[in-house]
Amino acid sequence: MTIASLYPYFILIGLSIILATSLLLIQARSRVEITNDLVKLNQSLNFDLPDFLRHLWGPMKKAGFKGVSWHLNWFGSSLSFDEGRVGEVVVERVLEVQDIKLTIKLYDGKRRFEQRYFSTVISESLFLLLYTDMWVKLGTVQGAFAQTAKMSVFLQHDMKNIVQLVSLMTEQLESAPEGSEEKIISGLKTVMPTLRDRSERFLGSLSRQGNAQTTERVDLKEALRKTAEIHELSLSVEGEGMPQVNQRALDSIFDNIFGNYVDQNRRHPEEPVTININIEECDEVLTITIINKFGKPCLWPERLFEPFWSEKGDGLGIGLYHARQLVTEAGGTLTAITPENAPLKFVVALPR
Amino acid sequence: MLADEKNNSEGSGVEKPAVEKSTVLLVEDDPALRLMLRSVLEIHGFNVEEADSKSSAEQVLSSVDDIAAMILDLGLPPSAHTTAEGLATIKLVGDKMHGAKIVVLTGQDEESSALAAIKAGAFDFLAKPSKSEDILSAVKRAVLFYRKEQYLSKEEGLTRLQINAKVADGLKAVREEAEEKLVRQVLKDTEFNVYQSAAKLGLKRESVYYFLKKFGIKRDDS
Repeated sequence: MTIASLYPYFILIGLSIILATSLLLIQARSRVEITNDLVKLNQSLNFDLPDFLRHLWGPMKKAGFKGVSWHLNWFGSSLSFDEGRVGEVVVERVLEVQDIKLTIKLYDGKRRFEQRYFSTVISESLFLLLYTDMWVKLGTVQGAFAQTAKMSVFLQHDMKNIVQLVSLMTEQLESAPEGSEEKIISGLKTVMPTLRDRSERFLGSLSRQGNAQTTERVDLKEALRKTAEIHELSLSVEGEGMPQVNQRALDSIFDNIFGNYVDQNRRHPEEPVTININIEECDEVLTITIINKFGKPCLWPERLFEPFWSEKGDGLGIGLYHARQLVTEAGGTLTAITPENAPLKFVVALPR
Repeated sequence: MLADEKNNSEGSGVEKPAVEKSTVLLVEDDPALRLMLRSVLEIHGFNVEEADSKSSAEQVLSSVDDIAAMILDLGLPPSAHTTAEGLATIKLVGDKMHGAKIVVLTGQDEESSALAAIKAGAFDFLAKPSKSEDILSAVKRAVLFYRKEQYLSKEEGLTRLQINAKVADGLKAVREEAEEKLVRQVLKDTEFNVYQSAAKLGLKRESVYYFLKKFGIKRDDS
């Protein structure tokens, strides 16, 4: 037998390999598409677990599964669903994350060789997506509760002070000891503007909207001076500007930025705070650079504008986030520059 | 005048406590509320000192003599939304033996903060919003207690100590805390005069030095 007589066999073996590989590739591609469909479906349903469960039968049927059956305990409510029919093989999984428990059964026919592996890849991908949805939901719920509780503590503190103040004021007016009327009126004259400022700030923290539509030319130097005065901060301002902005929004922006320095100073009273502000006008932009020349470099620059994050965990953590939102609404930008071994610098750019 | 105060001052031959001439320190970070409370107290005859934080309260306590009572907000900056700074202020007053009685007036969660404040050494606790009548009544009671303690210390040499003791810690821990508080109090009364303190405590001077070393007491602490 010569080698040439074996050629047809070699060709046959080669063709068989090519055919088998092609078939495998086609099947693999089809499974990848199904997995992608599942991911996209989940995404389009906003990672909502019950919704995803109700819609997953389509891609699973396409993957060759015979049926699906699930039971979901969703924060105390029970949901069940069956689709397709019971197959010879059942893949069952119980997924549980705190108040959410899912029992899911995938029915499949008898599969051999590579079919079994393809089927496993799809079912495991599905379980992973379902598990991720559970954590997404739980994280959102827990985060929302934590933030609401934090916000409530902050608002309650301010609100209780306002109620206490108004209550004392009312009592004083109702039952002023004889001869003390003048003293009371003089006290009220001092207290009322402070109460008004306090209430406005309280209202501002409840509603981000304010009167954002109403804009006017605002004297930057004066606005900065007023806010610094409220915080009892010493300020040196170079340059001047009159941007067309909403006065309340501008006050709130500086209030939140200065609040940072106040917190630092209260934590470390031995470290002085001297805020240097530079105002520059360039083309259509007004740039305000704020720096505490005795300040320290910032260790967490990437987290400064993250909502509900505070360095020591004792703040509400929305001050700078809120300030950035307001600057953005006014068509500008707020950035924090953190040069190495130099104090943190805030740069507010506003349209002129 | 409160009924207790009246009973205490009558018949005992004790000079009538000058409750309404006393100085009250207001520790409150809300300037508007501070002004209003000041006005309420002044109308009722109190002298008022103000502070907006623990450190400024400390300054006032060391610069103003004879502060009889404090009205303290537990939520002070820099962590105005927790009780940490307020409780630290109560502890500071206790450690420095100022003697001023602390009336807590706070908007913090009532249950937990009342317990923590009393444990730290507060004299009374009021939740915001409170009526001026209740605030005045608590302040008057605090001043009365302060005056009586002053009297007992001056005339009868009695010092009132507040000790939080756990039975499980045994007598030794209680004794040590009492010793420390007593030594600190006497040193404060004698303006850190070791000789006089030793005489008052009925100890040798060496023993007073031993206690100074043992409890890490320095002149600035007293």
